[in-house]
Amino acid sequence: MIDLRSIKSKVMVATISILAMLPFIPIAHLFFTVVANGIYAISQNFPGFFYMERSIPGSGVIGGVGPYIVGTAILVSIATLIGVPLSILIAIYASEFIQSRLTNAGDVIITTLFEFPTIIIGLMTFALISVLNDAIRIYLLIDVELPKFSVLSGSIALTIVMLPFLYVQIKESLRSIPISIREAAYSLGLSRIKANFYIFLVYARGSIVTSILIAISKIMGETAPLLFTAFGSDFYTISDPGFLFKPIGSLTLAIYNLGLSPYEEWIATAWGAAFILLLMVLSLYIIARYIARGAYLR
Amino acid sequence: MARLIEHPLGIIMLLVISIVSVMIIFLIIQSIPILLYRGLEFLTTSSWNPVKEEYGILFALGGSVVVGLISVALGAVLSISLAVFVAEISPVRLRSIFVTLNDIGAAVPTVIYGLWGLIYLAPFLYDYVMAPLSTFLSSVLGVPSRPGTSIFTASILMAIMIVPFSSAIIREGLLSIPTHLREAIISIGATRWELIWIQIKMVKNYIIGGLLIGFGRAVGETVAVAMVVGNVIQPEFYKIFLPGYTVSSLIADQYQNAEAYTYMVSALFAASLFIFIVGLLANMVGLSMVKRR
Repeated sequence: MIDLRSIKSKVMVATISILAMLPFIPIAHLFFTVVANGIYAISQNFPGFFYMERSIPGSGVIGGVGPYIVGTAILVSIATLIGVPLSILIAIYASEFIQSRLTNAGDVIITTLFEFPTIIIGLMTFALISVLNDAIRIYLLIDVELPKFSVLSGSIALTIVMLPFLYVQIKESLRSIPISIREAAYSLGLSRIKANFYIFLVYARGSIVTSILIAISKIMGETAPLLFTAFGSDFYTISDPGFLFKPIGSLTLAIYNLGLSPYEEWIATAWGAAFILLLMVLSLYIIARYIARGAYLR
Repeated sequence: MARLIEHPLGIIMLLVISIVSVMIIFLIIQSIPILLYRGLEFLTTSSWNPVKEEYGILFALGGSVVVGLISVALGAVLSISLAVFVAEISPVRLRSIFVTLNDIGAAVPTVIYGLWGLIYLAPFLYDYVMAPLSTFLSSVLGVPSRPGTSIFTASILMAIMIVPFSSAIIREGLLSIPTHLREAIISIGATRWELIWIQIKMVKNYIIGGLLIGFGRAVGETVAVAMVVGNVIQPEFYKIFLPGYTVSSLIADQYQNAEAYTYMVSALFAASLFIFIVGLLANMVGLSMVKRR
């Protein structure tokens, strides 16, 4: 006897399996093309690709991505140096004072920030600096302009991108510390700050380091918040003593601008940049997962 | 009455809260001039002519909504299938491999998706989907042009990009169903498909939540869309085979010369405020759908 129900079941399960494999095809193709085109571009100008500036279009020479690597490194380092301590401090407050009105307000505002498209975070940083400039001009009557397109505003934007993610993750890690550990720490007579820094942060270090690494890999791949802030530059600016107040390039901005250009040399450079960026992001991500696994086994 | 700040650390919390709220307020302040200057026309007309200081973003808002809807519709089928496959069909030993592949897809920077979409996806879709279909659908969907950048291409790329996110959330839901419920369903003689279908209905809230996050990402995504959408002011944004704009790609494409015109910065700010409102509305509709059941 033909069992319609079991036939239907088999057909549906097969359909789902095929549909489930479909999303992996474009992602596999993307990886293949980034690796193939990236390695090809880098091999055309081997060590030079990592430190030279972009080439002149039409010259047939593939330049390098040196300034962009430096830019990404500077922007991400400054954002991490501001963002990580800040989010650890507010996460400690939020995990210690769960009932506090300030914690509730922080939860609402910071999780709202989480939902903002990252382009809006770039615009918000731009707006903050514009309004501050107006305020300085009108109320202080001095002719000082904070630079809108600069390393600093780019780093602020990236800090704001990483802040909500880190806040939520670190707060959850701290809140999941067993009550027995908390009681033991406080029974030693430690102050809240000492208990958190000497014991709780150390206890939860695995998951906190994982969240920090994932946050860094996220902001490393961000482009949209840098459009209105770091703005982009194709040359080394670091030799300039005032470079913190000048626009700077990044790997992501370079992929966007060079990829959309009509010149073959620049598109090849964009592939090389994409390969380097993908390698950096994924190695951070894999280290993070490795640490996370170790933390659970501990 | 409890004090507002219980501990010196609270000062830092207060500082962060005030900076973020001040930034949100400044964003709104910056978008007021264009709304006073253009009024409702800013939303209801499709013109972008900085030289004449004429700004109307209907074409870009329409583009954003079309990209969001198509990519979520496609992404829904794929991400539910992927989540069901990982949670229910695949061998348990292979599960962690699929989960890792899925998460790596989510970790790839969006600008790399954009570069791949521009160089490979757009020409592919032009040759095998848009050109054949346009022979008899060109009056409805428009006539595609050679590089293949279009609103349709952007929608497909966004569908590829949101599947890892949506399916991760749906998968969480499926894996959180207690084993005794699954055993109960199997014990009354359900086939595999009936077991899956009952579980899909049980995690409806996760599905809606995952798809809303996908919609938010599709509407808010900037550079990947800006690279494949074509960046052409196209009042007929529903003709998806034509190049167009979304709000975010408009901002990404126009920011470099924004400061040269009186109202353009304000227009870009107001546009970004409206995509945030679109996202908020989608969230509210989604939440009310969850509550009604």
